[in-house]
Amino acid sequence: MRRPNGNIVAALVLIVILAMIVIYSIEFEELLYRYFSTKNSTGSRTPLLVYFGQHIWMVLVSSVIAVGIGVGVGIFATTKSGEEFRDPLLKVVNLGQAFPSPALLALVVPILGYGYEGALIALVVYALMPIVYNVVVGIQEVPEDIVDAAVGMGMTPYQLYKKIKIPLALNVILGGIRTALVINISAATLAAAVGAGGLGVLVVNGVRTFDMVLILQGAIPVTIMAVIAELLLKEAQSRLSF
Amino acid sequence: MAEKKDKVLFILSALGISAFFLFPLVEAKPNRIVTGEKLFALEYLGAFGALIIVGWAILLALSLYGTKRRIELASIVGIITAMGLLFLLPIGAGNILEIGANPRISFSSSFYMQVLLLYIIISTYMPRAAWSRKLKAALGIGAFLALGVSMSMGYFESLSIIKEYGVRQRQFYNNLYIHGVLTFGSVLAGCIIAIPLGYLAYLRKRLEGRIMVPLSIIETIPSLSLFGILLVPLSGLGQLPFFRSIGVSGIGWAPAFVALTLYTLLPIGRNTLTGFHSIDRNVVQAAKGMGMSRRQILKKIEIPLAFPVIFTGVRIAFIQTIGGAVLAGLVGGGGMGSFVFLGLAEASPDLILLGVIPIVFFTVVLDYSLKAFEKYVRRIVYD
Amino acid sequence: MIEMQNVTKSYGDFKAVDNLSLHVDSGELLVILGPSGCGKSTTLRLMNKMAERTSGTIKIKDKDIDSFVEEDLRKGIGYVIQSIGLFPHMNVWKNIATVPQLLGWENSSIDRRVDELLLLVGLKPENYRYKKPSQLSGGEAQRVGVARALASDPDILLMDEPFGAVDPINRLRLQKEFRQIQRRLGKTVVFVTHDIDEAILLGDRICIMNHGKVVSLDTPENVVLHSKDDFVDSFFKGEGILTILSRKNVGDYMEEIPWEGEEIVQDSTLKEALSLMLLTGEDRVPVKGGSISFNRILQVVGRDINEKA
Repeated sequence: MRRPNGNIVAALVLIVILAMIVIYSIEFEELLYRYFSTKNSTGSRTPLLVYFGQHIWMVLVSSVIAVGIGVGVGIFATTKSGEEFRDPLLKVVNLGQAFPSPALLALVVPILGYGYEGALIALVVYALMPIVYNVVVGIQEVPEDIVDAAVGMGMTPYQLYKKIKIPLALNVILGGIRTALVINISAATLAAAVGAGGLGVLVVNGVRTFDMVLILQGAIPVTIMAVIAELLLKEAQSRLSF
Repeated sequence: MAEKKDKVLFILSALGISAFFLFPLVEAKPNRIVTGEKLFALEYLGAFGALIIVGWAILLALSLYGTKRRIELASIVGIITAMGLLFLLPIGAGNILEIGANPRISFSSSFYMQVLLLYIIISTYMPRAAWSRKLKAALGIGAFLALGVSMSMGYFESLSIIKEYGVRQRQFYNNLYIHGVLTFGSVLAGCIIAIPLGYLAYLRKRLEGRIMVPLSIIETIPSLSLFGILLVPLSGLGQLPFFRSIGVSGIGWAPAFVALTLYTLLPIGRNTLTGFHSIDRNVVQAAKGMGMSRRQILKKIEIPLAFPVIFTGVRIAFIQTIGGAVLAGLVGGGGMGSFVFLGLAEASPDLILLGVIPIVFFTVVLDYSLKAFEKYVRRIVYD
Repeated sequence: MIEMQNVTKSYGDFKAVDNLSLHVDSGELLVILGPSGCGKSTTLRLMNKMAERTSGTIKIKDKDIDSFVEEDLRKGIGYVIQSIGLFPHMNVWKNIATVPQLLGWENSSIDRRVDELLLLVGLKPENYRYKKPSQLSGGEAQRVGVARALASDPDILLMDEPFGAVDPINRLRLQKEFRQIQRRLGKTVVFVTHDIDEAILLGDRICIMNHGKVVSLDTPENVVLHSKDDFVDSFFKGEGILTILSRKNVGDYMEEIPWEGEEIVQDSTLKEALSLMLLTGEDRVPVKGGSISFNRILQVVGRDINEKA
């Protein structure tokens, strides 16, 4: 059932727009000035591309690490040898989700100092929460009788996970990854506040100096990125899960 | 069961002991500006530090030598160790007079780790303990009461975070108030907008996509971006006399309130829709058969049955908004976020904590009590 | 084929299976019958090590089950449960192919096997091969479940209330078809149920369990008619007799006396013949090649009753 899908089309259009904004960043800035000029200082700053690159890199690295750790830890917590750890793990996850993302980023500063590494760790930790939670819940929700049938047919624990549990939990797991990615794109904007760079620098500085152009230069690409991530992962969710 | 070794407790208490010895417990500064000196637990607490390590050792022993009452013992030792950790901190200040007569004590990594580990131990074992609900509640309230009373008596005076609190007491309560008003206000506004929207989507199948898709797109917009983007129309709106007179402008409470309200729409709207969808069609048919009008069905059947699910949405929106309102601090809207961002700008971890701790506290407490209320409502409605 | 000796399974102080000994012959269909919570499902699950026994020995084909690798043991035993447990993310082909794939068969032989099995359980391969479980009716799903259990051609089938979730009309058809398949293939089957009619209809022998123990183990006729046990009597309340009739084919008892009317086939059961008599009000029913009389049926049952006395 491969038909051109609304999500994909929308995502492609947005990707093109995003690419245009990044490539023609100077024209984009001029365009913004025409409509929202509050100040007329076309102060040449760091090119948008740099912030954009920092932002994407931060999101990608933290998400890849978080997915790796989160899926691993989550699966472990659903196995027989890991089931004792499930309860305490979910307590940590619940506590972690009680922290607002700016708070978590801010708390990294006293421990790890300002800068990129600290922000990256905070992003990984924050992205871990929805991933671990969804992996654990998704796998636990695989119906008992299906697992029973699979074990009764002689599947080893590894085969059980590979052929039954993970495919059936995939929808929920991908949902967790989607949440994590969207949260991460958003939280990475705040990373500017702890000196980690990214598109948030533009927004934060813009808000502080009340410079609309600056705000929009940062906010528009970030928003487009988040929507693209949401659309693509939603599509992946509906294609990969049965 | 309890006779076996407890891997979880073993690992947690082993980590606790490592954290105790390997990382600094506090950072002591002679005053606010100078960089401080990091001190390990034994350096700082001296002989008193032994009390903490005894707590950890008992936990470790409990994990290895099973007794029938391991769970209860682990909970109680966990609580005592945690309280000990907190209450010993000011005592240690007396040991480091060479740093200054009135040193400022900030928490350091070992403290955070031990608190987190103890939180995991207590929150894992307490619910399993064979104690009555009343005893558990009494223990929890007692611990917080002890903390609160000693705080108000000035016991924690030497802690830097309390010093910051002391200096900014009025600001603190003012911000707490603003944070609360912002949160309640946006959730209330969210309910007023989203519940009818959800109901409309339920009534008119055709509109479902047109209502729910925009709501979920709003939810994906990164919060800082939304706050920023809202500056544009709101500062435009602020030019008009009426809006200026009620304080609307690009900066301040207005963008925070609007953005937070927008974020509550999806959880509330979606749960309203699911709530109505989850009603058994037969019940509605039966009501129709009994001659109820459309309005009566809505009032007597549908709304009560959908209410628990809608309430879940409101709870989610609530919890999300408490945290989200931190960003109001960045756009000058006040609230606890003011401390967080001020702390970041001034490189003052204690100021950050002053903003974060109440938020986390209220999030956890509200989440717990709203969930309890939800359970109660579900019991009434469904059983 | 299956030998259980003094097997006990305890959960704490509770003994789900209590010092149970049981023997299943090759090619036999043994029904384990009992009220819920009597330990019948647990007994079944002990045989393929889905549950670990507390004590006692279990032998399959004269080999202690502990001498097998757990997974290999299960791959050699078909297993069907009430909710079927078809994998919702796999189509019918993949569901049936699961065990052959685990065993590393070649795709071409799996293809052949899947088609063969679908035909065996009465489903057209070309219509059903690529359907998803969600597109199947309850009866079709159960057929696929049976086909899946037979996929690697195991000698033994363990079935836990396999037809429990199917509606009564389809259940009867499935039961009959399954009985035929089992006879034809000569599989050894242990079949757990709480349905008395199903037990009598299918079983070569019926093992009645209560509180984790075997109360009675005998042929359906003997269990129904010659029971010396109060529990068994109370369980059947004298209702099994009609079902006994449904085990017997008209062909075996008919007479070559021609009779007017709509004929039934020789494969019909005595119960069906009796029902027809009650419906038509006549004491004789035409069968292809002859007829059968009410007296004859009374004789069949009467013989059993007399034996009892």
